[in-house]
Amino acid sequence: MLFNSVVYWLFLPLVWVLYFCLPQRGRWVFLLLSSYVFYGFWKWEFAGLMALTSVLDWALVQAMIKQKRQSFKKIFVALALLTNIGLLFLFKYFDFALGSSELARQMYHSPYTAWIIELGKFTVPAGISFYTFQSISYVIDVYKGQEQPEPSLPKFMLFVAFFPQLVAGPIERFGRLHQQLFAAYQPRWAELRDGFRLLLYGLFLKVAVADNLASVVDQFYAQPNHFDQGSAWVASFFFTFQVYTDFFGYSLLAQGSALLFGIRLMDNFQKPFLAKSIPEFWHRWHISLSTWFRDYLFIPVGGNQRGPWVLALAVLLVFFTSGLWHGANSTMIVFGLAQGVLYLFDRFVFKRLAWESWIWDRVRQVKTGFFFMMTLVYFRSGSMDQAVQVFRGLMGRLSGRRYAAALDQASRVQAQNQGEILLQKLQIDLHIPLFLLVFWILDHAIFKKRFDAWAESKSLLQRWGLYLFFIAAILIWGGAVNHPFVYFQF
Amino acid sequence: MQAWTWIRPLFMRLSAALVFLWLLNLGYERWGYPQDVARFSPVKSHIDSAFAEADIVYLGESSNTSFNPWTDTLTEAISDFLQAHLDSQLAHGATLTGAPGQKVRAVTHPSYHPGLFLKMLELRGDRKPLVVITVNLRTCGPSAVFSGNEASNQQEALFYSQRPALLTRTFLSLHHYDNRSAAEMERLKRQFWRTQPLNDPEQLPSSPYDYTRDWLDHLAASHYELDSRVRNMADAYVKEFAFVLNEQNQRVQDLKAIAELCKGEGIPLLFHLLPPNYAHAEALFGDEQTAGNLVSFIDRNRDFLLQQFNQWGVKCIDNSQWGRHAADHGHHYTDQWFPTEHYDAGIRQHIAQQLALSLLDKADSSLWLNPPARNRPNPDIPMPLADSLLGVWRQSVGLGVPSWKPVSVRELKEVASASGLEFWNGHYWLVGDNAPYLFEFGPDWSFWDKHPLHSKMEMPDSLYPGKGKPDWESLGVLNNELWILGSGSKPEKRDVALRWRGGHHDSPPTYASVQQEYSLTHLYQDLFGEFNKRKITNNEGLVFTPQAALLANRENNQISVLPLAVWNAVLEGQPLGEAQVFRVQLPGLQGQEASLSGLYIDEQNRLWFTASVELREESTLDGGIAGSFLGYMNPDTWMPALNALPAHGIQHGEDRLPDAIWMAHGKPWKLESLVVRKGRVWAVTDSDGGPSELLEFQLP
Repeated sequence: MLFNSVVYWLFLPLVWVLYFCLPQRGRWVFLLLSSYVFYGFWKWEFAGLMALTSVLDWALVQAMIKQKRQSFKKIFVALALLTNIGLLFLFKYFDFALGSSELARQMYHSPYTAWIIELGKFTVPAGISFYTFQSISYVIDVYKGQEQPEPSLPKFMLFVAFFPQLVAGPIERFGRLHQQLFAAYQPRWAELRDGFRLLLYGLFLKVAVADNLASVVDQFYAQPNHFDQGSAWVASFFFTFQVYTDFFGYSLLAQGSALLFGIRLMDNFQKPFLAKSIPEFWHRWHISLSTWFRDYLFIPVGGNQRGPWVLALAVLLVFFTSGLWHGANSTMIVFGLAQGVLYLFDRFVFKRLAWESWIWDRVRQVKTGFFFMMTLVYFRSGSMDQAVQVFRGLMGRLSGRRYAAALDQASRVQAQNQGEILLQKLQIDLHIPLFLLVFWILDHAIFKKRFDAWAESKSLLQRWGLYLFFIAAILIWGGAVNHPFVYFQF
Repeated sequence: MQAWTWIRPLFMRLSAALVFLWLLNLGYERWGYPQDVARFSPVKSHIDSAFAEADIVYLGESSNTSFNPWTDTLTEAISDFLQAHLDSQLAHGATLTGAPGQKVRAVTHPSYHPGLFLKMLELRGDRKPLVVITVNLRTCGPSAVFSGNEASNQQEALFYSQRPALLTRTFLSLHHYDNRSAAEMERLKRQFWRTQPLNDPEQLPSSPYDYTRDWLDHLAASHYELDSRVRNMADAYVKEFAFVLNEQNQRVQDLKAIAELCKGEGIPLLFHLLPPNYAHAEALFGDEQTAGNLVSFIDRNRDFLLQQFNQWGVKCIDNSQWGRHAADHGHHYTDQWFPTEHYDAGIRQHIAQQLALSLLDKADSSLWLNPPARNRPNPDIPMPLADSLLGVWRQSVGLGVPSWKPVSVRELKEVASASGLEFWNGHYWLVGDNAPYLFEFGPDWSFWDKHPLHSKMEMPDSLYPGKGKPDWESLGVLNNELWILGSGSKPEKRDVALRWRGGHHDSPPTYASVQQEYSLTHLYQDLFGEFNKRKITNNEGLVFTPQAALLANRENNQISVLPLAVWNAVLEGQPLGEAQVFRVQLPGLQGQEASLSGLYIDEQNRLWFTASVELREESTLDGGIAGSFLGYMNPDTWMPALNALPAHGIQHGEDRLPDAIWMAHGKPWKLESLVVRKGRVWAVTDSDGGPSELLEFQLP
């Protein structure tokens, strides 16, 4: 079930009403069932997969804590990691890894395993990377003694499956989410109000901004070598903000949905395009994933405590893994590694150019945003060839193509008859850049705090003026292109 | 009670939001909705006007309006033809019985289907025009049901509703329709091909494939040598038509829902079934009698649909059989390389005529419009017909080649691996590719003798050792002498010709009868290249005319025609002077073209040949032989090569097709050579180890 679907907007109030009609004791059970309905609504097989992951992790942790010797505990942790990563590999990286190999061919021709190949090739279980990472963090935290193990399997299953953050995060830690899930709570206007505000703003970002930007970006990426240089830049710029508003919008919807149940999820974004360096950018972008990698990969492999070489290797390892996490594709690996290289460049080179000035800070912000935008070409491209095409378009070097608008009608017809590819301009409806501008002004100039807190400080007229604008934008100008949340595929 | 304080502010805000939404709907309906309809659902206005004005509403897909740019001068849609027929017939005394009036309006949208026609009926209003629903068989198949375009169709259909405008736009923003992604549809399609069995014991002959995917896998693994367009075409036809329709099928359910809706509301309804491209389906996979054919599925699904319509009490005009057995049936389809229901004016007019007939009483047949069947507005643009390539395909998969049953089969116990056969001086003469003898049989095929081909010193004990065999493969008679040729498939030992002149049956069977041994090195080198590059030499046929020698190379089905002077000069060690070569196009089996293995010229100067298919991967049949063909070229076909000899060098002539060809009926024989005389064809087989066999065919 998607947050930007009618079904979800029927599901959410229904679950909310029924949840609070139930006695406190049974609410979490209802929330667990609702979460599985939410996930299974999309595909029941994958709800089974999530249940299997949860059961295995819970059982392995239960077995681990009964061990007295540290080495035995490690075996169970390793088993849990293997299980999680194995299932992730099977359903997300299988096709990428096996491709057209003999094993893949044999599996596809076996009646027992063909479905795995079909699923791997065409459908990745939504959010498998998110809930797997959340589960792994629980195993490691318990192993390290930072968290107490959950003795109840259903309660642990709710921690993994809690629907607002199930399919695209934020990746919550056990200690933070678990206690909120089972704490006694009665609905309060303050949380309801803030929850609605986040839901409204999140839906505006997704439906009115991101989906509209997607219609332009999709147009370009369908045939990147058919568009002129200006279109290539517009599409790249739009995609940067498509990803941002899409994922930021999703995170706000998740936070808003959870807040209706009195649960506060962590902030996933902190105005990343105000960052002056790539390291700072990753402290502001997809924070729950960045901190996950910091705690469970970067620090364990040496972090910044063992000199610059270990730091560089750790950074590259983290970003390589992050790239792979984002998708089973060579372009994603290049995206990750490019981020790593830029991170090190900022960390070791650019940082030395310390110059306290307002202008220099703006230059650094633009530089950071620009580099991120460039690496997103790999993020969006379906293949390395396509990425190269986009870069050639950005540099105005699509040789052998002519710009259609520069030709008269007769020359155009003649060129087309000769099979020439004529460069076009993107078709962009006026409201699309307008909504982007509105978002940019709101997010970077007006909202000094998160939207719900900002709204609280404003007058009724200001608040409701903005609410009504959001509602009208969602309902009347929502993007028509059906574009699932970008991060759902991960 | 403190806990419930949130209800009042929530209620107030929800009320305010509802008022706002109401006002927003009013504004949007007036200023925004018309533009959105024009942008996202341009067909809606046609639906509205059709149901508001017409007496006959024709709901169709691209079959209605697609015309053939190569063959049509008439570009009218089926619905236009229908209107024209009704107008002309009613003006000349016919009466309308099946519709409330004669005004036809069409709503046409590419890739639409009954599920979407059902949604269109939501906009029908209070009038009750006759609704004509287009049905094509492909639309019920997995390729259409799980089409990647379905989401955009469903998005468009959001507007076929009477709900408040703002709600429709909200559904658009939130993608509240069947919006399964193209990838998910592809997965479902493959799942269908993998799991839905291709059987219906009562109505379908047994299929060699359990599931569509098996069929597709087989296609993907064979026929590499053929044009990719035909291979893709075969793949597409299987994907579109190889399924077994049942009541659970989504389209069947949609059609049923249309039938029930119209019955319940008293709306007159007419289904009409479009003709699928039977001709190409048959050309690709054979007719109903062929094992593994596709047309049986089309027939079975058509029967199923007609049966369903009958059960529901809906009238259906069945045009599916139009021109089914006409020779040029496939030419009437615009898309030659893919199965569609896009027709030229001939079929469109016929469909409209059948529809009109069902609505009229006392129709005058002289009034029907009859566009020329193959009118061609621009003769400089030939229509890209698939037929020529389909011909090659048919031959390659063994379709369309009649089989010929031998009247007798007998073993030739004396000959292990017969490879060459000749009739000379009243006797039959054979060589085997690994035997050092010339075998002689009497006119009644009684064994006469075997003549050693080497001196006593050189004679092997019984058979040649594997590597050392000259590989005798062909026999020919020139100037009352018998010529025996090695295949040339390996250098030196197989580049040999023997001239036998003691062939009378009363001659002593001694080596002394061999007149001379010649080297064919120059001949084979000049025809096929140097030894180390001569991988394609395998001469298996030899025949002489009074003017020339003809040699058949098995590997590329090339026949080389050498003037006798050239033949003699080459044997004397001179380079090859002039020659004409041409290739014979042969049918195939299991994706491999047959290869020439023997030649013979009969009394009517017909050039006979044998050809066999030796599988490259010897996995499916014993000995790796798929079967053999025999046939001939008429003198008009092959003799021009004798007259077209170049002054110098080798001239490559055009490929030639046999004038008659049969597949040897029975087991997968490996025919090696033949003789034709007295209304009989005698062919010998190489049974690879066992005794050779002699097949006798009676000429038709």
